[in-house]
Amino acid sequence: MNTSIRIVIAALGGEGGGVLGKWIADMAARAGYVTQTTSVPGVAQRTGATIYYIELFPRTEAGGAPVMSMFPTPGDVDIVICSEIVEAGRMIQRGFVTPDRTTLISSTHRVYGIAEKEAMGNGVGDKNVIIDVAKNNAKTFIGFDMQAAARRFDSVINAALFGALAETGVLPFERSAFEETITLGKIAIESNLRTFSASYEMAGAQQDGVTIVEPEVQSPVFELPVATTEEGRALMVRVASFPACCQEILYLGVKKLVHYQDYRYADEYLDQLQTITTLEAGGDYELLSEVARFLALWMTFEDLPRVAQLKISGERFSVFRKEVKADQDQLLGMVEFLHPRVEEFCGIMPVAMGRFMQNSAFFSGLLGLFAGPRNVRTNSVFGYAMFYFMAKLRGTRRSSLIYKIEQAHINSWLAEVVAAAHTDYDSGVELARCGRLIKGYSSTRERGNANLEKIIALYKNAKLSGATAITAARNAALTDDEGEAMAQFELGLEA
Amino acid sequence: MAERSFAKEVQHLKLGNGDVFRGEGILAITKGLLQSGVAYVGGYQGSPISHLMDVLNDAQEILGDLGVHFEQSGSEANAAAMLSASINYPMRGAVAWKSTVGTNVASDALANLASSGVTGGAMVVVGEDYGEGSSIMQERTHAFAMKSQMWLLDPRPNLPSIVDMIERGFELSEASNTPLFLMVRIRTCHVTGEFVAKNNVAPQFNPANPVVPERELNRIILPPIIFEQEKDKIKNRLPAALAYITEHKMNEVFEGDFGDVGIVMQGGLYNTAIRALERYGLADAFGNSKIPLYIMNVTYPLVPEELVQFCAGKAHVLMVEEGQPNYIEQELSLILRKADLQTRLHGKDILPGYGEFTGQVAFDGIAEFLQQSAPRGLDLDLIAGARHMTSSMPIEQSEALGKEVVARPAGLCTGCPERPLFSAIKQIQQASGGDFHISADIGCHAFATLPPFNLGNTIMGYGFSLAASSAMRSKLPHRAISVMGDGGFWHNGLTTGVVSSVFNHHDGILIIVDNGYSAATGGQDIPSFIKPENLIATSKVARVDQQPIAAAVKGVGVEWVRTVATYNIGEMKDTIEDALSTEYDGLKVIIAEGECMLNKQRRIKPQIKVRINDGVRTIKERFVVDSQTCTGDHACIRISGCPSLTIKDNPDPLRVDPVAYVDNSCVGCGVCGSNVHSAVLCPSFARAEMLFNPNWWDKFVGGMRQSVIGFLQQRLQNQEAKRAL
Repeated sequence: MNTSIRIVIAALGGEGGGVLGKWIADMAARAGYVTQTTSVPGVAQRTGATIYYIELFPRTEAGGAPVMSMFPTPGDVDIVICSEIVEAGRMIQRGFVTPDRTTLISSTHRVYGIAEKEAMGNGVGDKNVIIDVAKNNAKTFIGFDMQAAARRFDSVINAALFGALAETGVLPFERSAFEETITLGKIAIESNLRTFSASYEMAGAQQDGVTIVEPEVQSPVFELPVATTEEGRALMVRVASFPACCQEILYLGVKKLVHYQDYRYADEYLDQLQTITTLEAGGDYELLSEVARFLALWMTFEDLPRVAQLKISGERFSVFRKEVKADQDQLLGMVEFLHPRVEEFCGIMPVAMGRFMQNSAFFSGLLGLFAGPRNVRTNSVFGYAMFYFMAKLRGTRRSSLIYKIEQAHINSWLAEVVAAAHTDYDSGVELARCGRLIKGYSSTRERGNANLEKIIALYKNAKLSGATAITAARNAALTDDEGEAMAQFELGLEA
Repeated sequence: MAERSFAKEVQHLKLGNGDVFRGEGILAITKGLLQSGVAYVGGYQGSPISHLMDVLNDAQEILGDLGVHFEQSGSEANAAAMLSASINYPMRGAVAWKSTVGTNVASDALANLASSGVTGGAMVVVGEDYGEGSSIMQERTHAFAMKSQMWLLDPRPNLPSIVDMIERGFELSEASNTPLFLMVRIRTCHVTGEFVAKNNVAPQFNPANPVVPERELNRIILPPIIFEQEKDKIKNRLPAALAYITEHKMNEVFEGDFGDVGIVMQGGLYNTAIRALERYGLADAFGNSKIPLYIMNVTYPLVPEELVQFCAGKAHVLMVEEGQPNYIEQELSLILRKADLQTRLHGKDILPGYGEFTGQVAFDGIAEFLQQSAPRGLDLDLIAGARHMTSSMPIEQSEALGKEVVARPAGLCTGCPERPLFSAIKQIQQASGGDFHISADIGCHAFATLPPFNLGNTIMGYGFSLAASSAMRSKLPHRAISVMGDGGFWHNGLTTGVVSSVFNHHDGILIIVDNGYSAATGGQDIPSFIKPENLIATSKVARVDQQPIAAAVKGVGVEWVRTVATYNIGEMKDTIEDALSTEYDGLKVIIAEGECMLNKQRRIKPQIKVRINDGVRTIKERFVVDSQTCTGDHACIRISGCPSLTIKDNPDPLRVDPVAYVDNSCVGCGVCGSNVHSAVLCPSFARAEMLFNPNWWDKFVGGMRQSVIGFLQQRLQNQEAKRAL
């Protein structure tokens, strides 16, 4: 060999990319290599992306010192190791991954960027695009969810990356040398070794040069489950009468509605969908499935009884415990951060009473005593009982003010969807998808409602023509909190 | 206690003659200083020098044993002034800082030192934070070296060269009575490697063997001596330096096969240039180059005779120089002109006029030089072939990548105490109906100028935010607001900002972020006392010599001082609103207190572990988002930006937007909960309290609760089974 081995490690600040670099350098040093690692320290590492660069060169008899570069250079890197798939994309973008020589090892899990996280809807990028580019641009690409592999053994991603690196055989060291490195590290030896070994096996699962190991996504054909109650059976029969391609979504909707309210409520849901079906002319029933999805979500709007119902379920308690990694019998406190407003209290009252209270300064003031910031301990008898009785108010939901208001909104939206679909099916589908704007609580929900009403009004006034325009309006509504994009969009329509 | 501990690594500093030292650049530099017999060291942290300061801090015992005086200087000016110990006495000393910012701060003392001249070797180790990942404005230390007549060493970036240059640098400094810079680039500070060590040399003077106080009138900065000093610089010190550099071959010449061309370069760029030559087959892995090279390990002053000798007989020479202006190229051009050499000089006409000398810049630049200079006997087609061998990927693939590779801007850490402060300011700004003009400063809090907070209009330097508002304050629709870190406050803010503002009847607001450490540079200690949070008892004893910020500002005449815990968003909002509206027309100082979460976690994590293992009752807290009640609007993320508050796929197959999710890195700081209340968010946030080692009462209450809740849950389950599908 007359040139050094050149390795780039791309990591996120705080992930310990430097430790992986040290493992590689230490292992090489023990095998008689001259090693060099460089990095850029500083604030860039606080939460951002950072890279480490390593060179290895076999120590010669003559003992001359090889000259090693301070930087990786595009087209001149043998191994690129990434702790996350977008970082792999970044390394390809910077030219460090080339088809003639680079082995790319990357975990395929995602750590989302702030732009993806703060989006009002779904701002998540498509990692499959990066995976495809990686396959085309690396000499060998090993990619699988190494974080999951590490978590299984309560270990860190470095051990998984190290295992995959060992398996590729691109470094001239035996597997035992890698394992010895972990052992000499003296930290979490056992879990690191188990992760290393699992990752080694997974990386070796395929040997065709371009290896992508992703767990198979199971999407079996949906079959309606067998009902356990009389009323359930009647509902299932109704669901079964709908086109097969929509049955899963209808079933999920019906299940949610029965849990939310009762069988009759689910029947009402199916009645509405029956009307929609008459607008279908075969095909893939896009309108039916979109209405089924967003109608079910809207009908199960989050009033106080609903929030209480979700807070006290046994399932929620066990999910909560699992999420915080508490032991089964460990004492676990659960403190809810709530901020109910007077409107929410009035909403669960009978229509007339709720209206009266909301408009009366005196009663609003009185209710205001209960509104505002509240921390409720669900694991205490008092807190649990409060939610328990709050959830019981489900029984009087149909006569509540908020129910009346939401049903009116739902009906006007549905009427518009139906009317639109009559003239242009695709416009109907897009209006149905605008049901996505209805979500959240307090000001968030008000904003969503206002945006939907605005879109419907624009459509009615023929300002929005065609499905594309409706989609654009919906995207504008989902762009920012302040409504600036929506205002811009409207200005664009005027012009 | 700093972010990174070098307690283990500093043991290598004890190595002696013939031992092989293996480690990082910053440790090698320290070892080089000790081998040179320094009597004192000091400096101020800042990347990439932060870790050098941490090494010195962790090596205090070794330094003490040798009799080396160490100070963690209050600022770079303080460190520079320390070097005055070398003016009268044959005493070597070194200080370190981040450049060019630190050099700017130190400039007054440095310029005077350079004029006085030194008896003992005086060295400033500057870490140049230049190029990729830099956190400061881009300038060169070279300008300062030229204008103050300090020598500038820029060694090849490998440990033997760096250590060698430190040792010879002290000799050069003494031979020419001139202080000098040793410049290391950002990557060099952390480059690993090895060199053969020598014994450390204990300094001659120590408390047992003090100096005999000596007054040399010609060292004092007063007329008419300063004019004599200027003459001395040119007539004596510069020729002495040139003679020493030449005699000891500090610059290196490598002959090559293609004698009609040559490359002159700064020493620090050597490795990158060699790599480019290697890729063209013009150098081997050991740096044996076919193109003649002249390596400037001393980049100021240049040695005209050496350069003339190197260039004579060459048709083309490339000057490889990083940054702008191209001082070296200009001077080399003058040297060639004066020697009447017709060698064609290339430099910034081929290489970019600005920016870092990266591998790609070297690869392209050297190929371009070879094409233009056409060395006799070199097959240019081979060079062109090698240059274009690295094909770029198809355009549609790179465009697709461009869309998916998201930016990762730096931001506040998980649980950072500064996040709630900026949440409070943002909420006040929203209520005020207009944007604020805020003078920001250097430090972690500068991240508030980025999304999601977008607060802050100017950054003028370390500790300058209050001074930066002094003219603005009379032209703003609201009282002037300045934000400053505790590091910046002690570095410069107290004198430049607070003292001057009180003197000038400033009526604005200064918010000092008191997180207990110089956090952005790696958590170094600062004069003010660290106040640990109350979650768990701390083993850290309050310093008896603490210098509280509140006492400092009161001491210089500030009457309106409030100290508020940052996590208490409500009180913080009230205090800031009060400061904005109060009739009191003097300077108002709000000390926003909350310990740096990185440091706090490092401090308490092991303690919590020990407590839990020891059977002590302990509660660990963190936050959770209920994915059932979360509807996927992410308003919570937009007012926080906490790394631990992220998103995941919605578990409800009907919903299309991802839900918010708190990952396991959450430290339970409580800001999510406070935001739920202050911004009226959704009911999805809950705090989990994990109790370890419960006492009998906990168990009793827990058991009672479990039986009631378990009973009710069972009832619910039965009811729901009846109402199932």
